[in-house]
Amino acid sequence: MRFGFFLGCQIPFLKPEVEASIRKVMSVLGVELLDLEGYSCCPTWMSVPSLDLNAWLAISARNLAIAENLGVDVVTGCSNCFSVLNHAIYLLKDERRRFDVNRILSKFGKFYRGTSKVYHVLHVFSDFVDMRELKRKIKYPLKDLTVAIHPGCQLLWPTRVMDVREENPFYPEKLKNLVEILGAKAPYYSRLDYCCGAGTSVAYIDYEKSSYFVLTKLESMKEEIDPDIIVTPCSTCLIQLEEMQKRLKKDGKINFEIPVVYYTQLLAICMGIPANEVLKEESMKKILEVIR
Amino acid sequence: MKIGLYICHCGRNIADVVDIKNLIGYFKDKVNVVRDHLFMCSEPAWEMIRSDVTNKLVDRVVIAACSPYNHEKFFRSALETAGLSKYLLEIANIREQCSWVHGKNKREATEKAKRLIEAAISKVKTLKPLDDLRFEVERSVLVIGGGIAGMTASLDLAKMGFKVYLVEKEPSVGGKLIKFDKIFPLNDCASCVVSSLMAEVANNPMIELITYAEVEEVDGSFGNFNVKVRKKQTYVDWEKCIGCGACTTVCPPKAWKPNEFDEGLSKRAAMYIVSPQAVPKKAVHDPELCVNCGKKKLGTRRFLRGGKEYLTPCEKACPTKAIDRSKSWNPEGELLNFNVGAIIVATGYKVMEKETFKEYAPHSPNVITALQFERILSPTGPTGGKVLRLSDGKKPKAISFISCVGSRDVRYHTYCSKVCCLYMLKQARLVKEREPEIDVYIHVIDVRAPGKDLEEYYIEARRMGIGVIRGKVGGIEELPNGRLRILGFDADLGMPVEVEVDLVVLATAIELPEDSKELARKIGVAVDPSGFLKEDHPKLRPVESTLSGIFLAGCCQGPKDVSETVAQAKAAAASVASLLSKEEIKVEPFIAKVNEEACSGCGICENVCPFNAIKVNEVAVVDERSCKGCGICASCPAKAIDIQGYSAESIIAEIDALVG
Repeated sequence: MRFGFFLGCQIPFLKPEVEASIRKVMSVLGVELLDLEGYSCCPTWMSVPSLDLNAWLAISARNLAIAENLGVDVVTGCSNCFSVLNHAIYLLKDERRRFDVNRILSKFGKFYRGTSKVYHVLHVFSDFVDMRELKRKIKYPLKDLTVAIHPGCQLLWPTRVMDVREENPFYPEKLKNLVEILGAKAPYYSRLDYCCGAGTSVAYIDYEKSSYFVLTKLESMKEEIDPDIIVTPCSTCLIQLEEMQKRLKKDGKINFEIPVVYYTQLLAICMGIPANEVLKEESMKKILEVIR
Repeated sequence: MKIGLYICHCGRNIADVVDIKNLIGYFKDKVNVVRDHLFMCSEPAWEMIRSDVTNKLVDRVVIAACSPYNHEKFFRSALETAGLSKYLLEIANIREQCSWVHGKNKREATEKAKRLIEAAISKVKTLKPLDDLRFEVERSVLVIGGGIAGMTASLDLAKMGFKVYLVEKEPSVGGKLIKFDKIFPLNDCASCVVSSLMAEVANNPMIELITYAEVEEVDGSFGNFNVKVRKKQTYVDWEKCIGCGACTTVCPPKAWKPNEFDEGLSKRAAMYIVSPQAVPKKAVHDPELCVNCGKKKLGTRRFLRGGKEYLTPCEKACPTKAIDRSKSWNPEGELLNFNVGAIIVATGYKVMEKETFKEYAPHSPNVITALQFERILSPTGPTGGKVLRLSDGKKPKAISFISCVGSRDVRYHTYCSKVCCLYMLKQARLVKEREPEIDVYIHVIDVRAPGKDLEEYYIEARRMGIGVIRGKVGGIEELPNGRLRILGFDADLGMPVEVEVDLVVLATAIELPEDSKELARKIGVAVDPSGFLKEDHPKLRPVESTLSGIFLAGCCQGPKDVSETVAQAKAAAASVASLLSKEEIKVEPFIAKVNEEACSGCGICENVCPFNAIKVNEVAVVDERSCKGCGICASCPAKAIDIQGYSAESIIAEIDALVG
């Protein structure tokens, strides 16, 4: 099984340990990740897509064309890239738009056909890898661990642009099943699909509003299921939930802090990959304490 | 041949765009008479045309006005009154096909109007005088659907002396209304409104009530439809059944399923009587659900060791021996065949299922549709009319109603379902009246209460302390204790609101059921873009379908409340009566006509006719009653078939003038 690995910017720059965990987990499962040489910004929401539709589609198509040349589908760990690229594919189904974009791409010798699909890392485990195979690779299953899952919005909506979709995006199953395979409990809580507060860059603009989302979400989790750890497949949510908890605690709005991990980090630890290779040093101690 | 041209200004509709003076000047020398009028559809204009014909100034009439769909019949009557064949008339549509669509380009619109009028003149020159076809009328009516609309129409027609066949697909008449507790605006008892009608239709000698049956085929045309109705097999001898219900209590729980009458909130057995008020009150057997007690299959006998015959619990329970499982029942039921003069379609509606709305936690038993809540409020329902939630049988502390679920929503239906606002208010008021301590919220986009007594009904609801929150609900989340959190919006505060309640009622959209669409396809009635059956004209012919002789009543034509449904049913009955009360009916003669000398009897026309209206018997013969004048057979290789009034000569003359 081979995929073109679209790294994006957030994971390699801000969360290199997440990238490491993805690469290691995939190699254990025998999934080959090809680097997409010469890839650029996806381009993320709030940047080019807000300003120029054609430029957005051209940049996305250029990235996708790299994967098409390698003859592979794309997998990405970043929900923003996943969403932007899938939206681009959806919009480029329109012949007129595809024609315009290819006229731009022809200037530097690229051509967009629309043959490569874009998946999220999570979809590789849920829809491509054999579940029994995945289970066999887990050396250290989690016991008595309650996990609050946070799928993040971009992996759920809008379903019409995606190739792999949830049956009911309001009650998502994929992440839940993948966490339960590790031996942990992933009960439903009422604000499971609630926003992390980072959407539309509100986190950078208005701390009060953004932290309100995190606080509401944390209160629902704490009250309803009292989790040991939060698991998310979205790097933006990961950063938001980590950083906001620190600030909320400093401001005295909460008196607890729930560690947050990216799904593959947890999976890697269960597979027996040394924790220091997939976790940052400052959070490692706390996370390992919870998991043990 | 003297041609008269009459040009209509249509107020300013035509005259603002098309230069009428220019038209008059242009056609002055081409026809015998040219006249214009501000409103050609007015009485003086009608009189002007009539006197021109009477005074022998003209013997062919061309009218340049709106679509013939609007006033063709009106203009024809002028010719007829003056003693001319009314089919020597042609209308050039210079409003819908010219002035309305070319408003920005006046000069070219005038040129186009000239072409359209010239085409009409060319055509009118080729027309021959025709007479109406006259047919005898079958003085009976088929009414499809035994809800409030179908029953009202049937009774009205029966009282006027027409034989009525009332076909209902359920085992009992009563429709949706019999499921309701009370109806707005007077909060009077629905059962009292509908029960007496049910008894009347069952006992009226002019009405033949055929329940548990479906229309299979409709042939023929207005005045004489041939109808085939499939009476489904009940597996119970209805002659003997007394409706005691003894058999319905003995089926084992394995043979139970969600009860349709209670909208799935309770269970019914394989032997069942639809409802406590059923008319006719007879038991029906559901073979798909039956578990064949004692391995006794339908149509077989079983003897016990002592030689005694084994009887299933239902057979044993029946005091009149109406249930006999050893009889070989025909699973196909019975096919009835009869002729009627007209048909009224009153098949009703269905509400959307909650499962469609994933954002509203459809898996929760405490999220229900309004029709289900109607059953909870009803004294014949699963809770006996007590306001309880079904997940735990406890009294809810708070109830929320959500409106416009599937209506006014581009994802599902863009139309307004019309009755939801008021039935939500009604249900909310009934809750408040019975249990004042329950908090009731209604989430609406806006409250639509137009009509007599309805705004007052809404004001009274607010006065009773029902919280009306203006704003669309984004989602419902289930809390661990089974309560539900509504993520709403308050447009008056301009901010999101969250409400925690125990029971949520979704006012899901009203739509036409799939089987009604299937029926519409079978009988050839058009469905409009909203998904309901299309009326012929929204204002002038609101109860007529697009096919002559087939009429519409009730919610199959569009969402409406009980008052409107009854009004429409009575209108449909009156329209049917006005047509069937004559000895014969007149039909436009625009049908296929065979030139017997040219016909070689090849049979191509017989194969292509979609209505089986043409048969070849040495030469082709047209069945005048079945021919719809579609013109497919006019593609005859020997050019032996023409459509009267639309002959090949006429159409070619028209095209020549248009492109020439």
